[in-house]
Amino acid sequence: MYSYIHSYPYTLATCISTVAVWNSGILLTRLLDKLNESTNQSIFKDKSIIELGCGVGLASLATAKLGASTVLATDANTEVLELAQRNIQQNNLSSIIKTTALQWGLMDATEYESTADIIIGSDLTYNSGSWVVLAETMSTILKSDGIVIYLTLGHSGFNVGGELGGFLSVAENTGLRVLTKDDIEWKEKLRDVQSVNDLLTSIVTSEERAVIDANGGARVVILGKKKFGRKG
Amino acid sequence: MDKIFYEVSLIIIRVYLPFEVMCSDLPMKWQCEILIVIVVALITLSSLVDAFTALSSLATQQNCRLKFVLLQINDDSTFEDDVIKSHNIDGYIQKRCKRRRRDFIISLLSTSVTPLATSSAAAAITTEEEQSCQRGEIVSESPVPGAYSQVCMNLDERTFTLSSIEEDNSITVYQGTNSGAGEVAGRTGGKKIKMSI
Repeated sequence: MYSYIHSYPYTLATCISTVAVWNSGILLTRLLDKLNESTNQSIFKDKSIIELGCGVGLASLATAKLGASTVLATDANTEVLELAQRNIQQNNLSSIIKTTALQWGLMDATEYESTADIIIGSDLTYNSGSWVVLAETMSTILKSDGIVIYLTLGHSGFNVGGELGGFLSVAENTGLRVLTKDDIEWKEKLRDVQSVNDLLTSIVTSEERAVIDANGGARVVILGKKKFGRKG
Repeated sequence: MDKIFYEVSLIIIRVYLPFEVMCSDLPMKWQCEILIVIVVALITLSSLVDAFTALSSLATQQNCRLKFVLLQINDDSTFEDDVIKSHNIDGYIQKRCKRRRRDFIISLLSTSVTPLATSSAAAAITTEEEQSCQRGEIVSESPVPGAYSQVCMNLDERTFTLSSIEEDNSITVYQGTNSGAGEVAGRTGGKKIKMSI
């Protein structure tokens, strides 16, 4: 019995519902903070943000504090949203952040079509079965010149590279594309940022790096909408 | 007096009680682990019900996290199952064994000494990791069925600071509620996974 308890010392019988801050949420929040610094506080200023899979709402709260004009914190789980709402009130950001239940896929996404300047999210791609609906949601709610800031963090048993690569291949078939520093959306919003993955490296300590590496690393990707038009 | 007699041999409860102290004008939150041992012998049915009522009351108090309960009842009746379920404390019972007195003494020693001996080491780890949590650091996690867990998830709230802005740069978020019984959401396909014990 004790070996069992010692294997999971912090999870068993804690008697609380742990809708918690995940490591990926912390990392995303730090990255948003760093991006704000790197762009002279312009990236979120007066922008419309939509967070997918907001959980407790940490990243949404961060973008609101960093200057966003409106933030829509979404999650499929209504109980989670209640907690996010409580956190929004706790931080006095109810005038900026709204919460809503959002099921991924075209059905719900069309209600928010082309409303997001920036979509943020982390740890959303672990289930390959949801890649298509997630990509459809991103593609639908993103403005034509908007960007997606997506971060994925490894976990034991998950391959970050494979997970993200699989999602990106699906995303490219639903009207999204990976942006580079040469793209106009990158230049407009990320300005002089050369590499978001380099930024990611700069915001973790060596001890945290060890934790992240032990679980397969972390990756961040910036997506935009594909441009459709006649050539020539 | 009720004719039915039960012997509730041992109930061990470990609770975490958060409290605040003032240190240089800044409130600091600490968590104190308290071990409560209740030994009741030869009590009546009604007393047994009272014991469970008290246990249930403790378990449902805000900020009180029941960590471990061992209950021994020297009777083969299923009555205690009904009582446990009726008081909504079945999720907290770690082990319920029915043994003879000699075995019980061994059980008592092994269960009361071992956790106490290991609790100080565990507490040291917890304190160190919880301090990391309080600083908003990324800490290691353990896989649990359907999800992952880490010590930071046991905290009621966490605070993070944004460094790119100077004013109003602190974010405090609550984590979860006390309404559930060991449930965790996330990385589970959107479902809540019951972490059975």
